[in-house]
Amino acid sequence: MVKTLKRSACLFCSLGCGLMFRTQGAEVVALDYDKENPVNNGSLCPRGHYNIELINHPQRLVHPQIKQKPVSWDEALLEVKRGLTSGEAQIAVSCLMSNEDAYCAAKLAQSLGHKNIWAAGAAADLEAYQGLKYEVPGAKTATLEDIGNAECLLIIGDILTRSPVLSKRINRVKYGKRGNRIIVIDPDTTHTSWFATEHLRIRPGMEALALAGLLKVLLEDKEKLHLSLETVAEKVGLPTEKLLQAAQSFSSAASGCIIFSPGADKQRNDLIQYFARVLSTTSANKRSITFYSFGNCLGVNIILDQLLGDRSAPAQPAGNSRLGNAVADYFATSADTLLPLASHLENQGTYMLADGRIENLEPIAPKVGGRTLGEICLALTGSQARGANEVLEILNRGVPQKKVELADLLGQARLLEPLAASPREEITHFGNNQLVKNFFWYRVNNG
Amino acid sequence: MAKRVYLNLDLCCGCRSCAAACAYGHHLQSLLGHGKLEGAAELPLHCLHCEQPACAAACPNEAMQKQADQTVQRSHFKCVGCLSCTVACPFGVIQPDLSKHITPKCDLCLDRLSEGEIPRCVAACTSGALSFAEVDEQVADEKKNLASVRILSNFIGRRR
Repeated sequence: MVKTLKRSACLFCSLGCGLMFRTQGAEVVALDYDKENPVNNGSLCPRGHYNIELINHPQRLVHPQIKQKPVSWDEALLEVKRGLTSGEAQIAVSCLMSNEDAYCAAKLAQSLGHKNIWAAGAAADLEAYQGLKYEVPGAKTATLEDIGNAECLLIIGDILTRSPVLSKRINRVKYGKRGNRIIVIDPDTTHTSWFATEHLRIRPGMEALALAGLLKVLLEDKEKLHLSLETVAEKVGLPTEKLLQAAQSFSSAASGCIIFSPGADKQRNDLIQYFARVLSTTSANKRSITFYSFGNCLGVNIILDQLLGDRSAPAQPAGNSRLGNAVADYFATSADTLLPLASHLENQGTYMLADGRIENLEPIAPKVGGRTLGEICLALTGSQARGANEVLEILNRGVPQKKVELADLLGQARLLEPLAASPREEITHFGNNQLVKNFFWYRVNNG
Repeated sequence: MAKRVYLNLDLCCGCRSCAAACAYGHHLQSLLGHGKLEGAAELPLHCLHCEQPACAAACPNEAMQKQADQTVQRSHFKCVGCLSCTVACPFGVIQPDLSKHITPKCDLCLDRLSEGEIPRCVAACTSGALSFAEVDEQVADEKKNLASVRILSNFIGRRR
């Protein structure tokens, strides 16, 4: 049997690295690295290696279940339909789903006649997406090349925990040219802050106010902001000179990029997102980019917003891929009705990633028994159209914008209080082994 | 001279994707250890495939042997799990697996080398810290060496 390589992409963060799978006939044998992909040049983070388990994990959900008993697809779909039409139904679409699936889910909500449909993912990501809706004239999203070619990087949060593949580009900035700066805003010493030339160690949760302080320095002449740099510096826990210096080195760089990774340890991710975009417009050649923890966070949110318009926030944020009390998922959960779901590796679809590029992924393996969210929604509505043509047009419309006043949001940032410092977790699943104890000097000196 | 895996500690971001790649290539058994240098850095600990391997000398059953292609390989059938090589290794890179009573060890991804590919850890490295090249080239590149060696020697000095 001839081994062939098939290309796909990882969606475990919104960087969207390419990877390959070795297949033998219809069976996927092993994971391989895609050296020609311009995003990652063959490298892959620990999380990316888990992609192969989406295909060949022995505990993948194969049959629909109602109360832990296997049933046929028709029975399960009837049960879901009964739940959806009975009363107050909520639909949540996971941010790992493709744009076409999100489109079908939105059409399902429209046919049910309500707007209770949400993108489900990390709460911090969804909050950061809200910040994209605030209008900032002239703000541009950075491309991945912009990050590597920048002379100054302003990094908010620990981006290398989420997307370690960016470290190649960060290294290119750090060791590329004399005078390049990397400013990291983070309360802790992290993997990202090792690379910092200036590490702004603020109090936990005060990222938004620190950015407001930088804005105050850079916008002082143009606009009157009712914000005193001294009070900001005191509340954030940094000397005033350090804020001034950081703002100076950011604005004086020939080109720059603001990288933001939303996280639960930050407060008001929407404000951080907004201030980062405003900050990128204060001087020439600056751009900003946000990396979410789910691959298609942007695409799913844009499609739901463009198709369904303004919706009030959910009373209780739904979990991942939750359909009322019915859940479509890769693995078994404790929900009443369980529908097996096909992953992005078994399904053709388009995905919108952090820098706005749209990846079209082809299936690399036959479905093990699950169906895509689109197919489930189409079966529930009884229609046939998957809307692949309309999806691209909707995505081109972009995030709906609304007008806000900078002064209002600065006022909100001023009210933030520092959080309690939390001990950081180890970043990967291999644990911190005590191997270093086998080093000869350790044995010699510690018995 | 043979090709070896080389670490440039300045570039390493400590993501451990080398360990993950190693585990996925070797039946979920990571042959690659990770050391932590007092919060200053984390580094993957690769087998150096020594010219005169102490592990091979210590092995009572000739399970560890220097091969013709200059790599040190462990025979799965001969190994009795006595952990002599773990104690003998001067770099502490042989990590015992106590549950299986074996001492798994880096094989430089022989299956990939035979296909003309590079080892998995180097292919997966996110930051470009790991490279796979001739030993002479690596050692001659002083720019590459200096900072990493400085960090390591500082650490050793502190310990003493």
